[in-house]
Amino acid sequence: MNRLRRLLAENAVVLLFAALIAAAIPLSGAPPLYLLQEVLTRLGRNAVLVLSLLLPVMAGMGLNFGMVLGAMAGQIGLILVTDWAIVGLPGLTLAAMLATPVAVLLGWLCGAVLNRAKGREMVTGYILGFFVNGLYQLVVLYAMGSLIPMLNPELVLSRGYGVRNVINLTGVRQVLDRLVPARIGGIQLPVFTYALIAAMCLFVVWFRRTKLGQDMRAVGQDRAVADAAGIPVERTRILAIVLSTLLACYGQIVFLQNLGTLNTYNSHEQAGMFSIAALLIGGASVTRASIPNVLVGVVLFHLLFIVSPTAGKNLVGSAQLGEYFRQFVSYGVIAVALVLYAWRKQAGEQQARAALRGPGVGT
Amino acid sequence: MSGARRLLAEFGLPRVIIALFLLGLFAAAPLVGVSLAASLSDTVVRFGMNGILVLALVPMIQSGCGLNFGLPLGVLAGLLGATLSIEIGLTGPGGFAAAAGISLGFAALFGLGYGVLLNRVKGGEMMIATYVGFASVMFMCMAWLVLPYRSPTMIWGFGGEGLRTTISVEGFWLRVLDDFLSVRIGEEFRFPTGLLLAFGAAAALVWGFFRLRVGTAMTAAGQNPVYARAAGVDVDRMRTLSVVLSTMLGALGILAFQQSFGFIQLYQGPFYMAFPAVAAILIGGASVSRASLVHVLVGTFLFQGILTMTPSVINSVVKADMSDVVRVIVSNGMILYALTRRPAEGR
Amino acid sequence: MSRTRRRAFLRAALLAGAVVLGAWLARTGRAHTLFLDNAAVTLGGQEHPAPGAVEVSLDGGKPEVLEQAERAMRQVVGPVHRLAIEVRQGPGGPRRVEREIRLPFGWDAAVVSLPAALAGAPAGAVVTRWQPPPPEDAPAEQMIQQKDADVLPQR
Repeated sequence: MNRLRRLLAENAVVLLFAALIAAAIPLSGAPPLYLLQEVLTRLGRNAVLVLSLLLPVMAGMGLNFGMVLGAMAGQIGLILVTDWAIVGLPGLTLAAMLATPVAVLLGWLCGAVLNRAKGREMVTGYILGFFVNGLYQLVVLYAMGSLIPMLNPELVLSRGYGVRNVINLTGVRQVLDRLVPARIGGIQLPVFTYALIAAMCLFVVWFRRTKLGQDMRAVGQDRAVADAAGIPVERTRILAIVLSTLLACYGQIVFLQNLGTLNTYNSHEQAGMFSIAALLIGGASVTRASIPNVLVGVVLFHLLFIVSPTAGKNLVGSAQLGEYFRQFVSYGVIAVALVLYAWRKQAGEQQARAALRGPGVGT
Repeated sequence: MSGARRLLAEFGLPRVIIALFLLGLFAAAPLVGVSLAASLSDTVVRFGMNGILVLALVPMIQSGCGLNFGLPLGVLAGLLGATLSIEIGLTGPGGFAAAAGISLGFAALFGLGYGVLLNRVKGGEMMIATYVGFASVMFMCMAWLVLPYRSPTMIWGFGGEGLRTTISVEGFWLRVLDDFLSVRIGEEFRFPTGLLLAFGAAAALVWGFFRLRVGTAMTAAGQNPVYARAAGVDVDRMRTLSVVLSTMLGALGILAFQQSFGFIQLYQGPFYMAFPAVAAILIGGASVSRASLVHVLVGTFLFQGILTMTPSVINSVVKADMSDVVRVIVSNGMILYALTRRPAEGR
Repeated sequence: MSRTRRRAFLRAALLAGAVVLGAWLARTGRAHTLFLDNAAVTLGGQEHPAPGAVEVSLDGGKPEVLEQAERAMRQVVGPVHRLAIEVRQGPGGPRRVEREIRLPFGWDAAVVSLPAALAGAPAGAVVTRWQPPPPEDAPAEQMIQQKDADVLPQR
């Protein structure tokens, strides 16, 4: 009985959203087969991006709002490959290879900055995302086509420099998803993408057991203790962010190859926001996040994404309202998760203080 | 020499660079055919428009709640006041006063709830404020769609639902502050006396507040909560009060902005309102834990000066409008600088 | 070899390997547009008339019939391709020619002259670079007018 209650309490967020979606699906009137196809597609599209958030949580750095840096690196790789007309699997691989040094560099920068802002990593990472977005715009909107030569005039704005705001990734569109084609009862399955996601999951599981992974967990638990044990705390934190940025970079490439279009100036912003909301809806918190959280979160978040506009339209006659509701929920769930985390932390500190005052007092 | 160096250290290198940059822009303006008088006039008007919004950050920084990224909450209160005043059909100074009155009521209410929430999440205020702000903006998006407003100037015509995304305040209280006692100097320079008077009055009120006993108690609560508690200050109450004050100033700030700008921007309009204000006060020299009126005045002038001058000057120099990117880099770079300063340097 | 030197050597080798792999990927993944052109050409003063209808296929793909003076557009990926041309009837009688065509990395598009290929002309005469006509210059005034506000997301 007690165990059941604890199970319910631990999964309250997941259950709440599952109930919300269960109510919204009949309202939206979406056919089940369509929903299934959409969810399976979007699972392949988004899972790697969300997976990239796990390591910084383990290292005690909270939700890595700086993951948009990795997404930008991935987009730069895709822009270059599209410009050079390199297509298919070689094109996608090359995009990832070109983006890798950029992602590592940005990840290192992000980790170093966050080391100067211990205790407020999340807000700093968030602002860093905006700041680097400015640099990204400087490169993509001004340098490309002028300082950095562009071969394909169709990618360049009519004024002669700067990349267009929408790029069709026809050359690499769904090359991963369709590498191993599979159809089961009218449902298309991106088998290879799933294999890739499974490999990434295995990597995360394996990584946790390595020396570096153990160090990260130790740093996440208590920086002072880890430092006393001889773990290089700052370096470990930087590596956690570098790995996360790199995974986010590949995640964004997987995401965009499925979508087939790149919104040059806002694809990356959405990536960060949606991934973090998905992870939290999956039941993760600022201090604990696991692979099941990722998978459950992606499924629930995207189900909500798909059904809320139509459900809103059928309920009150306004699709716009459903869309606003969805965004409200995305931001709201992040706010609630952060509040719960801070709340618990504060309660813990108060308890510790009470315990220090001696037995009999407080508690 | 050492005096100059100390002054530089106190003023902070980033501020010196930004001030020199702005000075350079003003110096370059006549050379590239941009009218200096018009630029200055623009800068002064925008200084007045944004001043109160920046001022709104001071109480929360002083009480130890950090940078108020939840400013959109105050802005939403201001939007409610503005739209309700128009709905009633009040025009002129009376309409503006009614908007301000209604806004303050909502702002006090919002601020109270927001303040109580922030008291329970000490240490995580800034990120939570950001997302509480975002979520409330989205919540109000739904509200703008369904609230039973009737005024034909504000709702969509046939086939639309809810309020318009931008509502003109022309015919209601367009420029009621700007044009009050406004002075024209020469062809292109207009001095918005009323706007600056309003800003000055708000600033004076805040200045006065922090000279009162309650104000010093608030500062003490922010600087050293343990000591303040020992001295008998109710830290949580001071923090809540600062949040209420900040939210109310935010509401007034957006009204002052709108009457000059000419439009009420609903829906996603308030979304990123906090960021320019935060950047401005940090450029002025504030840190995450300490802010003064000088920081507000200097920062707003520098930041708005750069926003006014970069499009006109840079545009004619490099034949490209880079103002947006410059704004993004300068404002977020500034916030980043403040967040990564070690506490010892921040004091 | 000391440990640090071995590590440096290993890293250099890894980097070189990555560069080679990247170059290979770029080469094999490069997309080109080919215009298969069945029109008469003059090479070194000698005219090669276009045969009648020909069947063309690339890399063993499905053959396509091209009438005289017709042009077909094909997308290909990679630097080396096999071109097969089969003439059913015409002045030279029925024949079949197969040859390899190579495309430089920098060429977005190329024209492949079928009569030249049939005549066994050198590679430079068979495959020639094709470039789109330069776009008409937009007035400079208009180019500056394009604002970033139209491109960047609104906020």
